[in-house]
Amino acid sequence: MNLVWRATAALATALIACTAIPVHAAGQLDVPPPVGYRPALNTAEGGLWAIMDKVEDQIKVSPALVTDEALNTYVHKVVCELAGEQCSSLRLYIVDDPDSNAMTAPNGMVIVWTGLLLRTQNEAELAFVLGHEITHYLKRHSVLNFEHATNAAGTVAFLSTATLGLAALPAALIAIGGIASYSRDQEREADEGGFKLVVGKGYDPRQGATFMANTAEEEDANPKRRKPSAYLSSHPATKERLATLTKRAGEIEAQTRNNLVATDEYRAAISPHRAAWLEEDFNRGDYLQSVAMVKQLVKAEPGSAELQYFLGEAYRRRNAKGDLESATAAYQAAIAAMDAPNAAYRGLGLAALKSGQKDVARGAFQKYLSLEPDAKDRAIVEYYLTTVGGTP
Amino acid sequence: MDKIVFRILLLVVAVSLAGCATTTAKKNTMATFQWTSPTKRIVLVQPDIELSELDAGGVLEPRADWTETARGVINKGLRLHFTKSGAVVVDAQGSTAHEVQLIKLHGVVGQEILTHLYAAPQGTAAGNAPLPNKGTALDWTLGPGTNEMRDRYGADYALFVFVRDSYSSAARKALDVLTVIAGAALGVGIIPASGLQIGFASLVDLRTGNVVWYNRLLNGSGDLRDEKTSTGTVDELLKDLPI
Amino acid sequence: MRWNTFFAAMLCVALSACATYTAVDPNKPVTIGDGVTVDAQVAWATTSSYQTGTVWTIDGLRLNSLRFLTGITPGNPMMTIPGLARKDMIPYSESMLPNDVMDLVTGTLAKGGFQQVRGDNLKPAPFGSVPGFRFDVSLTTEDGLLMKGTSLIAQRGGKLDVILFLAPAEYYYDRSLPTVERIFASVRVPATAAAKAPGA
Repeated sequence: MNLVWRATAALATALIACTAIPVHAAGQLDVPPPVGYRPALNTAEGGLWAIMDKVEDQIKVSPALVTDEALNTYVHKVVCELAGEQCSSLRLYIVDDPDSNAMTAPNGMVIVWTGLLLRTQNEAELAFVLGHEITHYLKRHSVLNFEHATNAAGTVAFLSTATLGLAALPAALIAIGGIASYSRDQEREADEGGFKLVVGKGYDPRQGATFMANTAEEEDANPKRRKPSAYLSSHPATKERLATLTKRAGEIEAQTRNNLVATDEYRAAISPHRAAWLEEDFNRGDYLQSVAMVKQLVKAEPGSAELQYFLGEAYRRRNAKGDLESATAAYQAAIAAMDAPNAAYRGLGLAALKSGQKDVARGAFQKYLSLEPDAKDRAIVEYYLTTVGGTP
Repeated sequence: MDKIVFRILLLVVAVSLAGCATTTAKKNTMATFQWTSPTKRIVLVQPDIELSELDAGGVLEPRADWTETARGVINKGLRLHFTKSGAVVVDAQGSTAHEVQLIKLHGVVGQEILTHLYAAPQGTAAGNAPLPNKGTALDWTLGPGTNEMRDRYGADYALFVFVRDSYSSAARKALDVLTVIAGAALGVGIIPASGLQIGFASLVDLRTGNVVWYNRLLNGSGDLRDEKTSTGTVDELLKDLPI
Repeated sequence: MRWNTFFAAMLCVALSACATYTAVDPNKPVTIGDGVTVDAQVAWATTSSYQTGTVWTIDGLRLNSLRFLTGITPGNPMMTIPGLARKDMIPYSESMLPNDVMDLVTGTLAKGGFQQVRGDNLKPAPFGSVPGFRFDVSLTTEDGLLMKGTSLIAQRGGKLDVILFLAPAEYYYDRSLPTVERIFASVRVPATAAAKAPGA
């Protein structure tokens, strides 16, 4: 349950109950917020905006904010197309964090986690996720929740925005956006709204379902994980959503020829960052999920040497039974493909070293150092070489 | 307990704090409170303030309207103090990444000072949990990186203010709840039945980065939701400020 | 690391529930555990109240912390973290290469709530009289404060030793790094403890 939303929901109830603070004139929540709209501070919604504004101030100065212009331009383009005339009300922030998530706040702040950009495989998938979130914004779901929520005084766990004053990102973002407090009906509405938005822009409507299926598969890779996927947690059951989306896509397919997927444009925007985002995902130490996720990426792009290399890394670091063999196969596939990263030889060496294959390890490490004479990790690779009777 | 560090279980304490409304200012004994230039400029970093309501269930609910009122009161009080003392107040912009890091560093330094100069170890009488290598001395710094702020603002000092304040709702006051205390390591916070006000003001010499003056406020006399009664709180916070 | 920093301070101040700190004597060798001895070099303070291992500080744990985790046995995590179950932690295994140990440390820090944790500069370094390894880390706190760290590790007698120094990147890391280097250089272990050659 999203803690900030609950806190602010509780706040709203207190305000309404005690002080008869004006909420809204009737009917105003039926339409998207007009461009330039700003609620008065002494309204419940105003209080909510004040908190979101504070979070936005923190995001702006966070070390995690991604400022890369090309990436921001690309994602902003997709946001804007979907939002239509609301585009000028929205402000995009891309945050460097391995969680797969996106959210909109009622004050117009749109946040996209790099973990999401790593997992969406084409523009149509990204558009579906963003369309879903923008629909929450257009339908003013969080404001509605805020004003109708009851204060569940029995539950004591919540997020105090007191710490948001001290906290920047990404933890604050995870807390706010990770587990949305939208009701199931609102999630269904956002799915339908997102679907309509992407269809309206000519995107292939089946891509959203593909993304959800991949997310569910990654989740299932570690059923014991203590934190569910930020994106899925409060949503209606994935199977139901998949079924609905698939059905809707089938309906549309008969009527239109929507087929915009824009895989090439998507990959062009993402590829400069993907290696760093994959490393960051692995550094979480949740290798069961990492392996599942990289396998999905490889399936969509089997010719990518970079992805084969990272598949090797994921297996090597997971190190479950049979993983060293899988890692070796992946490193070799990377080496066989075009533009193999030099690090694939290092990976091969590490896997061979752990399997006791000294000759293979020696050859691989020597090859790595010859390809990367200025390798930053030369010192440790030279050490490994000495343990397998080699010289750099 | 999930990864969200800010998830706080709030339990209610029936313990009344001994020695309430105490403020004990500390000075760095090596510091001289002098200005480099005749125009005495001081950077005011945006005060970190949050007022909350403690409800019947012990849940702390942030109140944006109370916080705005308190922010206004404190800002006004700070500026009035410096008008009287003849210093020019400049607001920090947080415009560079480095300045942002300095401000965040101060957030940590300020809390360590609170912990080690003002807190008491478990089971002891009022005292503090000192670091043996520091004792009771105010001996903390942000480092000479603050020279960047000195140059940008032309100011010799920066003042930081931090306030957390909670007030019981009517429903809360009607209850009489017994205490359960859990360790800080579990991310559990305890708020006394009457609410808790805690704050500090910290003066940093931007030429050295040293915290040269520090004052902790604990359960002051003013109600920061009310402009009329709360000016006293600011006075308590800035009591014995040497500039 | 994982505790709510604000409430820890509040708790401490309001309700007298703070850890106690004792002095570490820089003038004589300090026995850490599992046979490890070091020289403190300067006056540190130590507390045993937070998590496992021995931890030293000069200005407070979030401004500098030097944590000693010695004799970690296979199958066990590097340390305990309040609120995290064992199954969520990464266990040490004897077959780990130094790269894997670095991943273990950074992964543990990530699970502990730090963000953007990265390890690099892995290289051999002595752990007293046995071979060990050094690496550096960079990370960000949940409050957005950039931090840096450095670690000395050894896989000794089938078990793992980790010494980890963390401090804010602004001023504090560079200030104490020379002292930490001298402490690393002062590590002594019993002569009989044979180091396990990684990968063997």
